[in-house]
Amino acid sequence: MDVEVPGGSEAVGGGTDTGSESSFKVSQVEIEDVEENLKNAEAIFEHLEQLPFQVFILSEFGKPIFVNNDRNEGEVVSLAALICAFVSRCQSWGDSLMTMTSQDNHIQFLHKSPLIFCVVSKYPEQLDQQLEVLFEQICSILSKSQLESVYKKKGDNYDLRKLLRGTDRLIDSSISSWRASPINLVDSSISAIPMNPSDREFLSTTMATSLGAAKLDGALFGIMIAKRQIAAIVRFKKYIIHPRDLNILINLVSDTTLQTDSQNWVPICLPRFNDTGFFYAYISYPWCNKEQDVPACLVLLSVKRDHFDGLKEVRQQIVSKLENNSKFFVNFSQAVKAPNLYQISQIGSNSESLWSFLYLNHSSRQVCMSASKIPLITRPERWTARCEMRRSSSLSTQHPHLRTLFVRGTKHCLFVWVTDLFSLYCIFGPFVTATIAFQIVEKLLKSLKSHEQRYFIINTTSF
Amino acid sequence: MLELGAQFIPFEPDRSAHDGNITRNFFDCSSQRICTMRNNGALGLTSKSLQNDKITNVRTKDRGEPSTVKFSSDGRLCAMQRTPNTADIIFLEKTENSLCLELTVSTKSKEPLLAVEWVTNNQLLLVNNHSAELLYINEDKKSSKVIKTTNVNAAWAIYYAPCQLLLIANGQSCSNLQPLVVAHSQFTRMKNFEVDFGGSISKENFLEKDAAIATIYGKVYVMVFRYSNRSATMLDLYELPFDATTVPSFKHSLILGFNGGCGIHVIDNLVIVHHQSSQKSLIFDIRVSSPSKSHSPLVTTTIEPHPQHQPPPAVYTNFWFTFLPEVVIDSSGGVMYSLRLKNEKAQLEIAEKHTMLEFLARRKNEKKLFVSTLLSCLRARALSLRQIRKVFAMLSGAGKAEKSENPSENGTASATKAVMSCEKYASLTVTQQEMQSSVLIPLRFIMSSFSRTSASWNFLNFKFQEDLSLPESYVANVMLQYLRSLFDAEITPEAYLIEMVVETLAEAGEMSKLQQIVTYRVINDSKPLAFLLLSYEARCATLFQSGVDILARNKASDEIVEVMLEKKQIVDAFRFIDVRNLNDALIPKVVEAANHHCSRQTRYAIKEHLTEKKAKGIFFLNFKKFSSLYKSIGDDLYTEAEIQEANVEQSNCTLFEI
Repeated sequence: MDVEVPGGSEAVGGGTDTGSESSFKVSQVEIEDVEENLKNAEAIFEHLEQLPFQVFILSEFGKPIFVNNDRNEGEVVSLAALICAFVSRCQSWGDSLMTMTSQDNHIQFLHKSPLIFCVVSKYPEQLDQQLEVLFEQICSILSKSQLESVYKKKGDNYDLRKLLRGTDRLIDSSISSWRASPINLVDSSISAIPMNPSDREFLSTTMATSLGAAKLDGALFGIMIAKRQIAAIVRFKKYIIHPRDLNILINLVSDTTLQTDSQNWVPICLPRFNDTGFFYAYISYPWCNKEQDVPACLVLLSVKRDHFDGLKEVRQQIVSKLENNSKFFVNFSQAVKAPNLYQISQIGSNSESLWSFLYLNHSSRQVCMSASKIPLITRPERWTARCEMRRSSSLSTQHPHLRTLFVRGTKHCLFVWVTDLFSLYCIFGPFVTATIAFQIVEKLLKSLKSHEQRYFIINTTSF
Repeated sequence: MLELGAQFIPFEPDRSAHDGNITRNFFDCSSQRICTMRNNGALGLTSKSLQNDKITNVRTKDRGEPSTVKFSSDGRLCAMQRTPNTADIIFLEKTENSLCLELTVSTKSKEPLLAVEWVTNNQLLLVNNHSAELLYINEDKKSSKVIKTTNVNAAWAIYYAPCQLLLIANGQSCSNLQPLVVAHSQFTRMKNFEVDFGGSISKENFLEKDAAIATIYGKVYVMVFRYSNRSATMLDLYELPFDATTVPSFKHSLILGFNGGCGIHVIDNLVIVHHQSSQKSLIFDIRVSSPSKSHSPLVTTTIEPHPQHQPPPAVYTNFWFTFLPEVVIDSSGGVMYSLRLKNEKAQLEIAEKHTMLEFLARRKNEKKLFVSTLLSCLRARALSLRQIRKVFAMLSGAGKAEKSENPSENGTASATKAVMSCEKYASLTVTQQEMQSSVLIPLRFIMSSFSRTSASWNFLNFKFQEDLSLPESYVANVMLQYLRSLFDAEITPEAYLIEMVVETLAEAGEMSKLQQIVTYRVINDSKPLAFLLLSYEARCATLFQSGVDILARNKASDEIVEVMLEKKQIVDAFRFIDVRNLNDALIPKVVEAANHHCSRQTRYAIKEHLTEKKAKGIFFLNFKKFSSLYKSIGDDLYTEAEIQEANVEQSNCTLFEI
């Protein structure tokens, strides 16, 4: 089965191929170069030590497929061989290598035949999930079944880069969105753009009715995305879409090369939905590059390849309906241009000592995070707070019995509350006591409950 | 180890000249004087002693050859026995025609006298076969008066002047000994006891020459030679109790290992037996622990003459007479010598270092030698840790043991009255200060780290630093043992000692040991100690906490805040102030430290906290101070632009990674 790969051409592929072969030849003929290579390898190791993290993707046979941080895969051939040796050795013992830890370097492995994933990081939290997300990202480009068959067809030594050409960017952004997005701190979750409940209602019903009226057999989902957050999502009957798959979509539509007023028709596999088949995503930015400049993106998903025209019509309908309701459209543009996050001051008096929070609803896997607040302003300040939350999140997954946690740090206090319904991670000022922290948190929960529809998508409208 | 003649005095040797002039010498054991009589005193009576330079030189009537000559302790009177039944009192300071006045005394029964002894300056003790009489001699009136008489059955009698003790032998083979204390013009009978002298057909009776009395380690012993045909001679020691009701008991047996003529000395609580034929002297220390009552000689040595005698006199000759405690009289040369122990040679003579150290510790006035020897032993690492502990326990425990001994003595005294007293034995006590200045500090000086770090020391001792440097842990262990001995003896260690132990442990890297002695409060809390521990934080992080704990126990909250600020734990310091409700005066200090060292975030938190405190009314600084404090933190910690940018980034979910 031929696959349409976004971007790339055969000619370029040939070029890289010969390039790698020639370097291969050189290292075989000239012995002095071995030392050169060793030095080179040492330099790479040194470089790796300084990076916050480094990801390697390689085939089971040790062929590097992807490395991040703008490195050429050829440079890390020896390292890839080492990783491959580690993994296959453990496999030969009937075991599988999960993780290696040195003082402050954490190495996580994931072996999903025919690929091996490896990440080296200074932060040990959630590395396993990171690798799974990467695997799913690759699946979304190739689908799992293709991935398995391609090596059988083309031989063990096949360079998968030929198939993935041009998607490095997506893998890169997937990595950075997982690591750097404030939303994905806690497992795989999504965030809803804060909107008036009535506006959200209007948006989702408009999308649902337009999709329903088109009667396109195979069009399953409609999603409105802005600023990496979901404005609305509609679905066909009982089909549901997993947050991880949604994050793959968010990752795709956040790619700046797509953000024009043109329309895109992209085949995409959503592995949590079905890792063998492809969806066709109709992606459009209806108000982009016009005078409005509303950064919203409409994604319509269908399983049929020939639905492009049908979905195009649906999109036209939705856009015109939304634009016709001027009152809605003003509100919507406002909410999407500058999402109005939950302000901690909304809690009420005496909440000054709460600096930041992240609330995760377990059933809908939606998070609500607080707007930035003094003193967590600069990137390092916010990053430290985030890392703190990430760490406590992985702590609570490791120790499921852990329900509440209050840590008095030298810079701030951390309050974690995990129940069956929600997880709440709070950063407080350093002088707060556990009692006061708890009182503030109770008020916060009450306030969130009363504004639930504003910060969460409660019901997914179906058509 | 034995030196002859550090003190000596010459006298005129015995002589029977053809011209009829006879010179006779007598030694008075009680007054330790040698008396030379020429022509029975007609040509002169001279008495000398090693202890003082006073030489008595008088003439007496020639009334026959005396058999004993005894001087009163003040040297004014002399008792002389010229006939078996009577004694003559010579008034040495009263003369008539340059001859001394005399007075003849005898017992009531006029029987032959067995002993004539001065009990005090004017009380004379006469013993015959059936009685012992105490006479009062009136020097002015030149008269005598019987004060007390008691009936005894005596074969022979010896008198031990230091304890005013009369020992009377009676019974079938004279082996039943009856001690009597002559004090306060009274005779007090103590329990009699039987001695085993190895009697046989050839040796039926226990003889006076085979018995001696001496004070050893604060106890009075009767020393008895026990002969045996099969095995070698033993010297048995019977301890005399101080009261009249306890029976004297056999305590020690010294194995001499030879037969033949010998002499005994008791010098500095050591029993020294000289054997003439083998020219050896055996030194016994009854305190050296022995599994049974038998003791082997600790040192076998030969007497060496003091270098001041040139040519050196012959030793162990037939002309030697030995008298307790340390007198040697060379009758042919006419010299009275004293015998002296040369303890500094003990290191060579006693191989076992531990025994040697204990030996030195028991010697009189040898503290300096002991301490220096201890130091050299430690320096050479010649002692095992266990032995070190024993030595230290002895030093520290000595005072305590004596204290515990004394009440028990008093206790028995109340029940059974002590009738006899003797010279007390004081064991060596080395104070902590002495220990530190002469042993522990020198040890530290040769510690390897010290010689490594101190350049000047390196320079001075460049040569022997290599072989002598000690591992720090060894020194630390030695100090710990010393500390332990102090604790065992319930002596409070001085602060400076603890400080040194702590420093040494830290230098030795024995952080776990240090931690333990702090944690288990082996060493007392003190602020200096706390600060010392704090200073070791770099070496062992947990010690810091120990130090803070000590401060906390001492309720030194202000210091804790200071320490925290020093450690830049500003937030913790502020929390501590809150929890302890400390003086607000500390707060400006905290704020100042925060302004210097803290991130903007923390400063903001402190500012907010101050506001909150103010609002709650638990802040007592006046408004002016407060506002200046508030101002010092800064009003513009965060700029508007920054806040705006953060807000946009946060709401747009901007990706970034540090």
